[in-house]
Amino acid sequence: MGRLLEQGKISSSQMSKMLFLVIVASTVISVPSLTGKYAQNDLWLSPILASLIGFLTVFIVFSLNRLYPQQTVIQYSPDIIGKVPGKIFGLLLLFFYLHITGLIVRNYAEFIMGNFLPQTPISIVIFTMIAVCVYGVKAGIETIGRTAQVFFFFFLFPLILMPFLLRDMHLDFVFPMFEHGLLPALKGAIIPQAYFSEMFLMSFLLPYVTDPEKGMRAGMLATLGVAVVLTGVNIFILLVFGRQSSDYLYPVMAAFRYISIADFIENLDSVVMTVWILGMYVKISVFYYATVLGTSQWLELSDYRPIVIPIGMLIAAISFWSMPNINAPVISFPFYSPLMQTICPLLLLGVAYLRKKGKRQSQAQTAAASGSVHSEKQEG
Amino acid sequence: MNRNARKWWRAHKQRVQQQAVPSHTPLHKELAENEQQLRALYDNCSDVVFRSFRIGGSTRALVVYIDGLTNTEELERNVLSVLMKTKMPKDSAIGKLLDNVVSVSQTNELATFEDCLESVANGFPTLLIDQQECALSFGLAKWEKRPVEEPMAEGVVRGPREGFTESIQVNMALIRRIIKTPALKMEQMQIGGYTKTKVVLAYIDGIVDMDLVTEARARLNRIDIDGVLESGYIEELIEDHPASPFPQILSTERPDVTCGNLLEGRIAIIVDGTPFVMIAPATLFSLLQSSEDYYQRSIVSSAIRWLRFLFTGISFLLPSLYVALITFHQEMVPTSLLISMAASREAVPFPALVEALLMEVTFEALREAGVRLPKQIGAAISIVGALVIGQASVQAGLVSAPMVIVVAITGIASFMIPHYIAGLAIRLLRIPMMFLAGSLGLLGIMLGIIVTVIHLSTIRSLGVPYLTPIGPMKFAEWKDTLVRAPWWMMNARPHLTGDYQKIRQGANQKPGPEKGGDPA
Amino acid sequence: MKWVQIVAMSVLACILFALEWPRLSRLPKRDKAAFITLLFVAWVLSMLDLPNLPGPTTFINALFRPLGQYLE
Repeated sequence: MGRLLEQGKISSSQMSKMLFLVIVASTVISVPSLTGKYAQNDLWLSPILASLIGFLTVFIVFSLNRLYPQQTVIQYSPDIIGKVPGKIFGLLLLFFYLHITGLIVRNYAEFIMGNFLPQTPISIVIFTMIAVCVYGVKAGIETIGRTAQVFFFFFLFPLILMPFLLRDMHLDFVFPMFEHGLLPALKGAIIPQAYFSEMFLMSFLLPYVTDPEKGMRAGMLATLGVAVVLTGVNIFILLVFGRQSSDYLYPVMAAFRYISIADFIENLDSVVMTVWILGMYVKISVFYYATVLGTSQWLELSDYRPIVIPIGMLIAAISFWSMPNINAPVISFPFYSPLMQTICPLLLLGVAYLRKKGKRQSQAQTAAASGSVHSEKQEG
Repeated sequence: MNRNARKWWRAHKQRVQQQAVPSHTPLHKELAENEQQLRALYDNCSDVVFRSFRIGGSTRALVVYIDGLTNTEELERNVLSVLMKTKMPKDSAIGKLLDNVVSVSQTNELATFEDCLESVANGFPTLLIDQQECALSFGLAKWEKRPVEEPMAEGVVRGPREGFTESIQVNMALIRRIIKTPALKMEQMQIGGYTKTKVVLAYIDGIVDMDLVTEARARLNRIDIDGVLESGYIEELIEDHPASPFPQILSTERPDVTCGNLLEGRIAIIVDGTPFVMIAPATLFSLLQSSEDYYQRSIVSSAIRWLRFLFTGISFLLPSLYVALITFHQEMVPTSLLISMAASREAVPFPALVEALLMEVTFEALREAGVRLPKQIGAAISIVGALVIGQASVQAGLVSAPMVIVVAITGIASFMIPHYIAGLAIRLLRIPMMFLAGSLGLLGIMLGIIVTVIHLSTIRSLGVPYLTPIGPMKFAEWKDTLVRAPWWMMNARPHLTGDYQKIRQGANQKPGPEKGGDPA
Repeated sequence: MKWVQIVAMSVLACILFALEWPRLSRLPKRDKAAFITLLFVAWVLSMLDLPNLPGPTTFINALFRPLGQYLE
């Protein structure tokens, strides 16, 4: 049952870098405006509140993994809630991932089109990215982990450039704090928390981590890192744009456009974009990988590589499906994502615990009946 | 088709083996029969000399050697003349002859025809004596060798100037002269059905991970090839990813580089007939290191390493960045620069991509021609080349001046990579990058970079990931990758695979005035 | 335009099939079936005028509409 389709291994630090890039890549450029819409000048608080969901998700995944080491959620959910419901849940989850990957790809393509290549057909942008990801996913998790490690350093590079904006920052934009209580900040956290629940991808990675006992720490660190970066970016955007943050579709890009070093080095938004493409690649390929791996485990195939290309085509198809343009945002995402990735797994964990407990009790009873006392210790 | 070919190959191999009739056939007692057999084998080999004589005027004997591979003077003085004068010992033990008469330091007793053939082919004169079932070979090989010279492709300002030569004995000696411990092992094997090339697998016992040696040995033993003319043959047959443009095995002409790598737990493969010694496992960063990094002051070396990284990037990306900026992203170029670039491009009839390709290909052609040219006309070609691509093409309005600058910088940058082959890989990848830049702009470049990084992170060299120490991360090794830490900081060896001897030197060796000499 | 798309996607599907099949032929039947089915589904989808058809996104949006309105 616990057959491993993947031969590769990653380290827990590679996993945490993958997860960090997965969440930061898509949030960093648009979240300030999305949270700013609700939280106004309290938008710096929202990522911190949202990260709670991330920590919770990491805890859930890690606990599930402790109960079923060497297995992904697709493999252990039939064990927990029975064969048929488990399979149905797996299918829903896979469908969710397929769908979300398509949306991410679409988001990426829209961003590229809007900012850099307005004349290129969107299908070209989508297909090239999927082709690159096919190469990465086929190479396996080891390769994705290593590329994440390499790109992680590049991804942090634009942060060094932030101080050049100091003279455009206004500290008074932060005030008044909590004008309308905590509610706006909480509302602003609704969108980022959906991204934080993507930590659930850990469930597909943990079976391949060489040091799974450090998985909890790695996941928590990744969440913390994301929270810190997002809070930092939000503060920085707030200080530069104030309450107008939400007027920009991509406020980070707009802010970097302000930077001018010695009147010569300008248009640093292109640096942000190039680096962001690297992060997006990691994000898409991790989602893509989870989809492919999960599907092949669900179908009980002998290898996941044969279905990489067909699933890539499906992702491309979904990225077009019923979206003539991106201006109709996916309003369901902030609820759909935590439902599938945090709430359902939480229920799974609850059932798993109850079952274990029931088992233990029945065992303890039989043990007591037969007069031996040390069964509890063994179970613990 | 494939099966037929395999069948043919098997038959062919059998034929070859039949030709070499007496493989493992023991020598006869009768000299006449041995001679006949050998003469039949060396039929039509005009370079093989058969010299019959009598030991002490009675016992018949025969010396076989190859003209030009043997030191005939020594042979005459220490073997022939002595043997002719002496008397064959009565008990006819060949050992006694060796002990008492022949004054040659390296001798060997041979029992089979195959051994005889091998020793003759290696330049050792072989002595066959009547009524003896074994032959004697004398270590009197001598042929024309290139002297030890400064390596052509890997120059240094500070550092030893010795380079390997074509002779494997000399190369082994050069290594042994630096690493004197008996722990330095040199396993010899023969590869090549016809060339019977000597290949030596060198490593330091106790430092190297023995699994690495076993793996390398197994890969070498797997080779079944007609001939080995250069270490490149072997490299292609033992590497992990044959389809990659990146070299997964380092080749060097320098004994000091080889020894440095042996001391870090790598293995070296020395092949007879070439001055290029292969070192494995190699990583991407080891290709960007020069031996001189370790001889210069550490701060300077670190700075030079950074310069090298920068220019490796430039050599990979500059032309495609230029194409992308000109074609897609003019708004990113500072205005004043854009104006001057636009002015110089005004008369150019080609799109930027075509212009860049034209210039790059011309440059590569010049470089290749420069390597192959007879030395006498090299100067002429470089003048013509410089004039053609530099001056005339700009004046004729075929190419813009900035493009010439870009190509020139790229050209210089690609020669900053200390290992020529690694430079070739990057140069090769530059062309597809330019196409990507010409079709998708910066996005194309980024996709190209991603694909390159994916490729690099799938490669392994003898089990060591190619991007070590960045992916997978080994923070402890950064001090000898991103910078070159001073020697007193590098107390641990880099970790390659499996078990290894981690500590390489005593701790706490940082010098300083307070340490001084002896406190007394 | 429509025809170009259909032809292009069919050619792409054929090329991908031809590229993958040599490696697939060694694998069990189940893998082959999964590959062919998924590729076929993707090919059929690519024939349609997807951007203007209701799809999973529409469905999910409808499902979560009440919650979404709270956000507005």
